[in-house]
Order: sequence, then C-alpha cells, then structure tokens
Amino acid sequence: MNIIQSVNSALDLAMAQDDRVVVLGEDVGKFGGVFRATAGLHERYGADRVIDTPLSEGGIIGTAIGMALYGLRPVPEIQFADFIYPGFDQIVSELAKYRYRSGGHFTAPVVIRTPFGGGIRGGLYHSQSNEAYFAHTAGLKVVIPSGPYEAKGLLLSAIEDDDPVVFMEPKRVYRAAKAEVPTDYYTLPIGQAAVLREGADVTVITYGAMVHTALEAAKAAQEQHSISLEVIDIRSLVPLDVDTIAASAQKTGRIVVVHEAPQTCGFGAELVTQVQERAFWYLEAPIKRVAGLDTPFPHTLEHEYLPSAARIVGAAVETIEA
Amino acid sequence: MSAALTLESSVPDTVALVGALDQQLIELSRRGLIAPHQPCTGEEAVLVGSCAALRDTDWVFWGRQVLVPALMRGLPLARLFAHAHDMSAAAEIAALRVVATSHGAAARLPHAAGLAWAARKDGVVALCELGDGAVSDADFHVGVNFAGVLKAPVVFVVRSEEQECPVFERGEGYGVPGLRVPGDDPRTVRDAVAEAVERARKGGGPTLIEAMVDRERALPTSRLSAHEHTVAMALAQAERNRSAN
Repeated sequence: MNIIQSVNSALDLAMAQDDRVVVLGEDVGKFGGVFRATAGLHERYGADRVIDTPLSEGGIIGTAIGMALYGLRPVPEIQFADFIYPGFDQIVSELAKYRYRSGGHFTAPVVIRTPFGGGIRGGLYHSQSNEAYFAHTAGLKVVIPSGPYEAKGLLLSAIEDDDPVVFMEPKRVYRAAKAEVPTDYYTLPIGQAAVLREGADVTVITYGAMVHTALEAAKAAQEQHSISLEVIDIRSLVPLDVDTIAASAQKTGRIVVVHEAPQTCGFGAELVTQVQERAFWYLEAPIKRVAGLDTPFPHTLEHEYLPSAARIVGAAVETIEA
Repeated sequence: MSAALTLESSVPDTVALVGALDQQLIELSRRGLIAPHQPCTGEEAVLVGSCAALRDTDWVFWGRQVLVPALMRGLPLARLFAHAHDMSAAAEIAALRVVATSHGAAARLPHAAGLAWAARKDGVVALCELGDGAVSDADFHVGVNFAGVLKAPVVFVVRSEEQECPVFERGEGYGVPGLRVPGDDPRTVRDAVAEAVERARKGGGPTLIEAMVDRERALPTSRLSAHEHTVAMALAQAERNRSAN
C-alpha cells in the first residue's frame, strides 16, 4: 500500500466500525478528494457521512466542532495545509480550547487531515510545512506519519482519541512511499517515536517526508564517510517522545535535527531544547539544524530550499569534526 | 426552578429577575470582586424570550454571559455567582447543553450549524444568540451559509439596533429566511423564536431572527476597572459635596 491507500483504508475501517465517524471537506464526497484519499467512501457510506462542503476552511472546521460537541467523530479534510489559515481561528481559539473552557465537559474529538510539505512543484501555496503553529497551541495533538504503515495506525489512533488531532500527511511521498500494511484495523500509539535505523555516531531526528531523506543520508554517510547515523522518526510532535530522543542523544552525543519548515521557530528549535535539557552533558558537539530556508516557499528552487541527503550528511560530518 | 421560570405567567418575572441579577453582577464587577461582566441591560427580554422557546433537550450557543440560559435550566444562584467569580461552574453549565462563547464575536455560528446538523434526526434544535456587531464577522457568513447548505435545524437570534442594512435580510442569499421582531416584549420574542424552532424541528431548516433592542439602556460601564470606578465614585462624591455647600 502507499500512503493514500492506507489513509483510505483507515477511514473505511473507522467508518465501518463506528457510525459516529463522518468525513467532510471540499470535494471529499463524489469526487473522492483531490488526492483520492476519500475515494469510494461516498458510495459506501452515503452523503450523510461523507459530506461535500462549501469552500470555507473556517466553516469546515467550525461545523466539525459542532458535530463533535454532539458526539460525532468528524474527520475534516483541509485540501492543502497552505489553505488552513482561514480556519486557524477555529482551530486555535475554539477547537483547542473547548475542553478547557467547558471544565472538561466537552472534548471535541476532531481529526483534521491535511497534506503538507514541498517537492511537488506546488509553489508557495501548495508546499508549506506549518506544523509549528499547531504544536505551539496547547490543546492540540500534532501527528505526522512518514509512511503508509504509520499513516494507517496513527490515523486510527487519532480518530479514537477524545481530543483534537491535527494529522499532517507528507504529500511528496503520498504514492512514492510503499510498505506492507495490514488490511485489518490496528493502531499505533500517539507519542511514541520509532528508531528506524540504529547507528553509533550521530542521531538524526526528523518526521514526515524528511524521514526518507534522512534514511538516504544515513546510507550515503556510511558509504562516503563511514559515519553511522541513527535515524529517529518522532511520528508525533505533540505529545513528543522525549525519552527515545534523549536515550539516543546520550548514546551518540551528536545530533542533527531535520525538517522542511523554515528554520526560525521551527519545531527543530523545540527538539534542540529538549535534547539539551535531557542530554547536555553527553553532547560532543553543538546540535545542528538542517531546515527549509527563512523565505516563502519558492516556485523554482524548491530542491535548493528543501533539506537534501547531502545537506544532512554535511551537517553530520560537521558534528564529528566539531 | 427551571420549569417554573419558563411558564407563561413567569416569563416577565424571569426578565425582572435577570435584570436584578445583571445589576448585582455589574456592581460586583465594578468593585473588582468578580471578573468583568458583560451586562445585558435592555436586552433581557430577547435573551429570556429566546430561551423560553426551547425544550430542555435543545442546545444553546450563547454570546452574552451564560446567566440567562443557565438560570432558566436550573443552575443554582450560588453556582451562578461562583461562576461569575472564577468560572468554576463551566462543566455544570456545559452539561445543561449551554455552550459558552469564546471571545470571537461569531465563531460559535458554525458550531451551532454543525451541532444542529448532527442532531437533526433526534428532534433537537440549536439556538445561537449573537449581537449585531458580529454580523460583519466572516464567521457570521460562514455559519449562516453552512446552516443553509446543510439545512441544519438552527435558529440564529441577533440582538440588533436599527441600521441601514437590515440584518434579517442577510440570510436570504444563503437560503436562510429572516424576520424582524420587537425585542422589548419577551412573549413576542418567545413566540417568534418558537415558531422558527418548531419549523426547524420538522426539517424546515434554519431561520435568522433580528430582535430590535434599545441600546441606550445597555450600560457601557461593564469594563470599568476598580480603579476607574473609585475615581468615578470620588468625583460623584465631590459633586455631592459641592451641591451641599
């Protein structure tokens, strides 16, 4: 399965098992979604559970909140993460705070699915990585799978969760990343990182599509420099599995943090801080960040903008030579 | 308390009680003893009349302080005052299907539309109350549009002053019929809201009601800090002293 198929499978199983699960968004119904993630669901579950909405992200998220207050488990799709800003107030001021401001009475179990990230020649409004805005907001979980196996298990966990989850899908590898995925229902715990490759010299901490770039870098570092990289896929930004990160940092003493989002105030800054709080005395070198540039996402130079395997290898070498 | 307050004979009594409580809360907030209070002076009839049109199983999305629907659904007075102090009754109020607002003027409109849609097969209706300042907010248009598209059983009640572009006409483009009622008689408001609520309950879709209020009677002093109030009291005392002399 690829990621699109595994997301589709997760939605199908969740809807079959639980009548409260509904899907809504722009063209998610008859059309099956712009990336086909909801294909076939409208035929199977009908227009009452797979709802084509007007083009309004605030309306999609706002009505999903109302449905959740009544006990449904809405899974709204925002077509591109770049389009989420008109719904930002609904996410930050409303969705994230309903439990708090109702003294715990309302839980708002909404899962916002949205494709994010560059590398598809999408330009500045179809390529953004805006996960840090949501990680900064108390009350939201932020989950980012790297491949099909993670996508299905984490999405089913997110739908089971009583609290709101922003579920960001790495669209560059929507079809490129393939894996063996069980056809049955299974969940992966939210807040548990995975060590995808064990290594001795440098730890690379990342998430989303960059996991694949980091694995490529690990291979290259071994072949070209005989450096052994450990690669951690954090899988969720909030909650963050600090234990796994800290254990690896204490083992290797050298850290490279990688994400596509612009560097300044990106989630990498939080990862760096968590590492130094837990593993400062184990560090052999300053922690390096490999990130997108502090510019709008470019139309033509996206592969210069995006972290490459070569940049990650370069950063790893710098931590060795420091 | 809740059942008694919604009886025909007691609607005006409820308006009087809400008015008295409102004055108490204004006074307490001026003295800095509770959080800033948003008064409803001059708008009590709209608030009480709207709530009186509902069944207890209906949901309320509330813009003003939650005093009116919470009281009418049986929240004890002591808990009401405690909530004004520290919001400690938030869960109790939520359990009464009274959804308290955020500070977004119109953010709750899409919530009301979504909830009403989810509840449509259970004979449950959502009432969403707002002020006329909110009708310029994007979420007003989003909420009314989604309500119209989804044919959600929701009734929007706007506390409104006379203005050039009538509020009740703004829903028509979204397929949401509107009407205007005087907002000074709670029974007139209740009857108009009740008609819209029952239409919604039968699958007739949403309605936008504009209830006309006289803002001259609404106090703009709710946000007076304790310090400003002290200054105001001192000036008043000085004025009285001058008159006495």
